[in-house]
Amino acid sequence: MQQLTCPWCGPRAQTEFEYLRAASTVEADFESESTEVALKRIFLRDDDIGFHHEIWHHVLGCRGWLQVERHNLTHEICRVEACRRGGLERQEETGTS
Amino acid sequence: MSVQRYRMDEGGLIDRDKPFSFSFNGKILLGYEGDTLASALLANGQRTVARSFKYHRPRGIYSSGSEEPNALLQVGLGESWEPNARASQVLLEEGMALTSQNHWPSLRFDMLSVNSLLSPIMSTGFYNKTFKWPRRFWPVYEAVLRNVSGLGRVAKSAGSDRYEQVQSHCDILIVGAGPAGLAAAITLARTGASIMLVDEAGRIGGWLLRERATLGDESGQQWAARLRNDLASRGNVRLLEQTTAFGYYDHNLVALSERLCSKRQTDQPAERLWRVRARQVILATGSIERPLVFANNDLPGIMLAGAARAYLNQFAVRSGERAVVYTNNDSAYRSAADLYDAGVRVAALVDTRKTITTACTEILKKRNIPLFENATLTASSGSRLRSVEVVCQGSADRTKLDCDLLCVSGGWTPTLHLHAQSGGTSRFDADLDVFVPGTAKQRSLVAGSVRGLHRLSDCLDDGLRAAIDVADRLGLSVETAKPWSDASMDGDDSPGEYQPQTRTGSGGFRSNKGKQFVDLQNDVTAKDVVQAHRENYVSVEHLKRYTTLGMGTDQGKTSNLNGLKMLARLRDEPVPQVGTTTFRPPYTPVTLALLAGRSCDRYLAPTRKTVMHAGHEAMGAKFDFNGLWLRPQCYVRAGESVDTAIRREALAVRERAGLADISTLGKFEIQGRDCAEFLDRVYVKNLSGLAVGRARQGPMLRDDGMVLDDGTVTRLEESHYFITVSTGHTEHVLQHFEFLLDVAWPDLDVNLLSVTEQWAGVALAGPESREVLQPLVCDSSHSLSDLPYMGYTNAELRGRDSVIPARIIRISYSGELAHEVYVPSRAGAELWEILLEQGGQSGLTPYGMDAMDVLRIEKGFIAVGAEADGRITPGDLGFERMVSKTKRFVGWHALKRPALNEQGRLQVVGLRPLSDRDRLREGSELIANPGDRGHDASIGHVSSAGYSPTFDRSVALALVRDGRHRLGETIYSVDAARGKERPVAVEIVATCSYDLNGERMRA
Repeated sequence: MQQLTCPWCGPRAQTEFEYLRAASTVEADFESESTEVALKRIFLRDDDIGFHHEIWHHVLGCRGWLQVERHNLTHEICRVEACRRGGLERQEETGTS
Repeated sequence: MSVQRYRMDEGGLIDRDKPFSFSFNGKILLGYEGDTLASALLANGQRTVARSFKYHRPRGIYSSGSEEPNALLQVGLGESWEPNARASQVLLEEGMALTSQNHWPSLRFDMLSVNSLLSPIMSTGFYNKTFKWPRRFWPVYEAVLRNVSGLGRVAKSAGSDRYEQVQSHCDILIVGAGPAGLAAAITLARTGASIMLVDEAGRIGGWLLRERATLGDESGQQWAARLRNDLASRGNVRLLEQTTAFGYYDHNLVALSERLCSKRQTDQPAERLWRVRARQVILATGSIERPLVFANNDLPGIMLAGAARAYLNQFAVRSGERAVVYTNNDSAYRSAADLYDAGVRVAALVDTRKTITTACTEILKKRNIPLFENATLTASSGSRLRSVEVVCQGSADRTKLDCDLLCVSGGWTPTLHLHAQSGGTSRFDADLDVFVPGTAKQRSLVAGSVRGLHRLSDCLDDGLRAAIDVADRLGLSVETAKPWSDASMDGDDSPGEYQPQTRTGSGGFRSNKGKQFVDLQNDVTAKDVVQAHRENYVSVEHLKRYTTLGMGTDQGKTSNLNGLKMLARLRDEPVPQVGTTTFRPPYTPVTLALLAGRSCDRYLAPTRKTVMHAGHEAMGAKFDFNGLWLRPQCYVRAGESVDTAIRREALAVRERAGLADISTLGKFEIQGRDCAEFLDRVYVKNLSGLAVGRARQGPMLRDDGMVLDDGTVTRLEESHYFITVSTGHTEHVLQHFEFLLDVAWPDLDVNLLSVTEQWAGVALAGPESREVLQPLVCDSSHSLSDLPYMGYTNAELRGRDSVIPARIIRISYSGELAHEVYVPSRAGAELWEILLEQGGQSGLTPYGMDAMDVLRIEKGFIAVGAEADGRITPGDLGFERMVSKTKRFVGWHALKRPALNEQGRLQVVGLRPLSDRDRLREGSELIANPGDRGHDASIGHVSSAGYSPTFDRSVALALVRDGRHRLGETIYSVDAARGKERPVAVEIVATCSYDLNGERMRA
């Protein structure tokens, strides 16, 4: 079981959280995004080995939204931040460039 | 009661003042506190304790730890027992009833040992190759095979034992309390850091308890006991004995299973699961002795050389009267010495090596024990060990030695399991001929004999080194002085030259002298490994699965390395090239009850009850779960069946008035400047045009265009909305809203509040329902007949003592004139009661979810979960006209995908059975022709069905491929899952079959 350090609550067990989606699946601009870009964002993503930007919900804790940078092979977590702060960092991926 | 013939008068860590009586297969035996089941059985001379898995050969106790392959016993009698208990690990308790396993009718005479005679044809893969054809006979084969195979029997009832789970944290977790673990623990304990020290044995000390070791002027046992007391007295140290660290998971989480049986008070659980998150972990997991492979190496009386020492030194038990020691390394010389010194006659020591150190030969010389160098042996066949035959290499002479105990040692395998589970690497040490830990992946390090160290002083030093390393990592200052002086063990002074050799004995693999077992638990022989290789199962993973080598409850702790070395030799490749199988948790078997803990029965999940629950109970409600909520399915009156009740309730709504508790609906409020914009983005309908005092119903989608939920939005004030969603989707929708507001659109000025618990609600439906509600409205000028369909008003209702503020929405899920009335939860129970009182004369009938379901199916209203099952678009539901063309919303892009607009999609339709007598059932498959069979034949399924009292026949909604273009067609429903294979002819009809123009609803 992994452990995430919530910026509000401190280190907590994975069971308190829910992985929601890859940060790259969140639209950048609701009003003007083209359908082509949107469909790529939603359905086509690279699944390469390395650190990924993920969105987690502290669903059984403070219900805060976290942006987590996590290695999908080693599960190493190098960064956890609240989503609101400074907006969302979207991983540059071939599908959305 | 028998005498413990093999127990010595002195020594050992057993309490002779506390005798325990126990039974083995009904025979009453005696042991002492401090005994394991194995040591107590050996003390009583019980050599044969089990039959083997496949050939049903008699087997004895083989080891002294959790690696035990043979001695698996059933502990307990009656309805509740534990199968497959490792005799070498479980502590003896007063009155224990032990039973041997795997035989019929008895341990001494096992009919199934005929398998052993059949072994020429029961080779590897026998089952796979034999019972395959003809395929339809498999159920017959299976019934027989299941009966004769398997390990132990599962108890018939759960028993009364309690199992608990604990979450814990510490600075340093030390796994293994042998020399290295203890040295590390005592050094770190002095820093004040919080420490957990765990050991799977019943007593702290590891092999210090089992060897005749000296540390300064103390024995190993004394030193371990002193350190145990020292550690136990410290507030920062938690000692857990009888506790196995069985899994090493992500981010330094280690799972422990603690067995409290022997020491517990009556209110304590039987076992405790610890989830420990440690800042640093020291793995001092030790090593396990390997067997040697030779003919008949499985007989009762043959055991690991270390185990013989352990039973002697820790339990004061002689495992035999006349012993032979067979080894390829130095450690077994200690067995010869210890046995001799304890009065066991040692007939010989047989060493496979050519060169033997003087330190070793001195041990034997002092005791006049004959040594056979460069020699191998085989055991004579029979039901137990009687003699061995020794052959010196290059000589034809055979020496027969009588013995009833053969101590074997094939070297020591580091216990890498936890290190490997944590993601650590391993490397092959050619000198030691074993895999040793490589680099760690997590915040852990290894210490002691798990690194391939075997000298006592080396292990102690390594524990200290590990402590200093860990202290450094955690920024602790630590004393680097050794907490012991000059440690030693006999024969431990020189490492000796180790001879890599696993299989010995003349005649090769195909020797007719007897079976040469590699894996004792699974009855895998050297011949099986050869055959598997010949049949091209040359990968270790394939070898494991084809031969079952390394499977079972011991997962090959004693056998894996021997097996893969043999495979390496057959492949003519070095061992590291062949590799190992993957180490997976658990290290030793864990009971399912422990993993479940207290999460059983009603503790599995919380139960949510609405505020009107007592009212439902009083009326004879039958409840069912929807998610965590308990909801009334129907209210059964005296003498009534469930079906009659549902019919009566549904008819009451159609003809007069009904009352249903809808408090479980998910309820949200939103306020803020951008509410209209938010709702427009979330729902497919245009909601910004919704007027104050009006409600609108429609679906919201996921990003991929599928319907997420279908709910109602009511505009209470200019920028204040009330939203209800399906009971089962509340959490999901809340998360969806929170995500959108917090992450995707943080710029929108919308405040979201979940008010599901704050508001209780009822649906009041039926042609006479308005007359029930109207008199309760305080302001008589406030006429409900002015409230239009999909209109909203707030009102004050006449409560018993005070007025009740209420939100009234005129909306209908039944197809009748209906209102949803929401009041603050504190007034919910009162609302239920006053409505029933008020409606008494007009026949107001409470109705449950089943009647509600029938009513909405008649009306063609979809339910989220049934029709909108997560793969369904608004178009599939026939909601195209609801989907706004003038705005964007979540799912808008995805709806444009061609595949969502092609022909052949499932569409919602109604079904009507051609014969009114036929019943339609939810989940039935639909086929075009009565004879169609197979998965491809399905053209849809029945998504909702019920019995309609209005039409006096089944009504159903279904998802049918291109359904809306097939209205009027006859198709067939098959309820195969419930065993009803007869196709029922049904006509595809419109979804709505009741009050087609909605006149009753809008009345």
